[in-house]
Amino acid sequence: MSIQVRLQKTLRSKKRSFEMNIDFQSDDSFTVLFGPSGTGKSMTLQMIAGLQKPDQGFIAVGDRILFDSSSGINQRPQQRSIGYVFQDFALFPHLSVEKNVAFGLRKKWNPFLHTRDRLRIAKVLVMLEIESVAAARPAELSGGQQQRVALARALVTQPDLLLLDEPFSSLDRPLQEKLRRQLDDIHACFHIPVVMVTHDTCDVRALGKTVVTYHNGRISTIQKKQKLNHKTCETRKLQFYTAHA
Amino acid sequence: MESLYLTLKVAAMATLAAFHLGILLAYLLAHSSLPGKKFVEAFLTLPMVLPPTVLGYYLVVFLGRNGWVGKWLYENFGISLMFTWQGAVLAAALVSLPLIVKSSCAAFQDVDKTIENAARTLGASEVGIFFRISVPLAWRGILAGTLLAFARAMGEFGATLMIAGNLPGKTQTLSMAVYDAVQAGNDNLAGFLVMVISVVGMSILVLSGILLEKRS
Repeated sequence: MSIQVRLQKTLRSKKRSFEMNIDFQSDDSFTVLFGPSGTGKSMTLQMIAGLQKPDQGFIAVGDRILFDSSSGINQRPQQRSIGYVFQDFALFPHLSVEKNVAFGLRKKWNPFLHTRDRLRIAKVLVMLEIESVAAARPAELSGGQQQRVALARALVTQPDLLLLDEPFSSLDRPLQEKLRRQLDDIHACFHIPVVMVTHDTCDVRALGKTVVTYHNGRISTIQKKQKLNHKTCETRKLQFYTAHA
Repeated sequence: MESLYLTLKVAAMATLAAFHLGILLAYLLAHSSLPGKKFVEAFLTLPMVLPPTVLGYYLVVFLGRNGWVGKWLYENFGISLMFTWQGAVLAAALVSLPLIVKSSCAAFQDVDKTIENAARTLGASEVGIFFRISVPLAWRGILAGTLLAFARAMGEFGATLMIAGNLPGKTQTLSMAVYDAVQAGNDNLAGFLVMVISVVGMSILVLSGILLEKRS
């Protein structure tokens, strides 16, 4: 499924003004938006999800047009069918893991879930290895578990597109590597195209197929990559650690 | 005893009314960035700083038999709020509304906007977000405000006197009864009523303090 994104947005505050002008298209199932922080990567995700409105632009996932300023289309975030894993996960702190995951499947005014949905939740919990903590609250979980809950919550609604905002940045290094591999497996399993924001070169090497590099609100390069295996990244990191030990 | 029952009835109904209206206003205030927001906030806080008699005067002007709203109510429905316990409910609701709005608004603003956005991307409607996310996460602040509002409504004197009067058995609440008892030199009764009000007020403040502490 192809993703088309063309965005223009100017933000002005007293201290600085920021101009964003982004245009990319990706036919790959895994697109990485790469670059230093403050260059508009996360804002791009928010605009794709409909949480922020571009001044001008066009956003399409497959043949669904989510936003088009020239014809006045602007779907609400609720209609876009986009899974979003936020940088700090944004889990619902007052709900158990299971209820967090079930949130997107509950229909209006109906407290009960369809049996099919229950099965789907159970399956996702097992797949992401969080079934043992299903009754726990988010605050009781480790960072890695919280991340998987956020991922499960987004995946269970079977969105057309999955957005990941620096999903590994708050986790420690060894865990990152494991989760990166897990994400790759899950991605292969669910067949949902992913757009991921990162400033970590390891993410780019391990996961990216199309890599869009941001610089100051603009795109500097778009690269299509052959997927490198994890070893390259790990060896490189090992070298890094031994060199600094 | 009759005045105690009446006080509790008036305070409970006033709190109930202020609770619903207050939460709605607080939520809208917490989520709006309109230029008139400061003005609306100030207007809603006004009952807290105005002398209750001034507030009572406004009520009489609006709701009295010759008042703008009161005349219309009386001519079309035969309803008059003057010198009734319902009038006392209105007065008490109005003075306690700011307490609920302030406290709930702060609690709603404390709810992480990213969490609400997460609910949006999962398909929850704005009403759904209010009931399933915002209220459950802000309930401590809402409840603390509601308790304060109840305490305030129980002690309401000035505005109530202006609109509902001080009719024993009909509109005479505890605070009115204290005034009457002191005027009549009945120190024992006055002392007893004062103790009742003080104990209830103190318990409510301690309880709401505990709630707010747990929130932070």
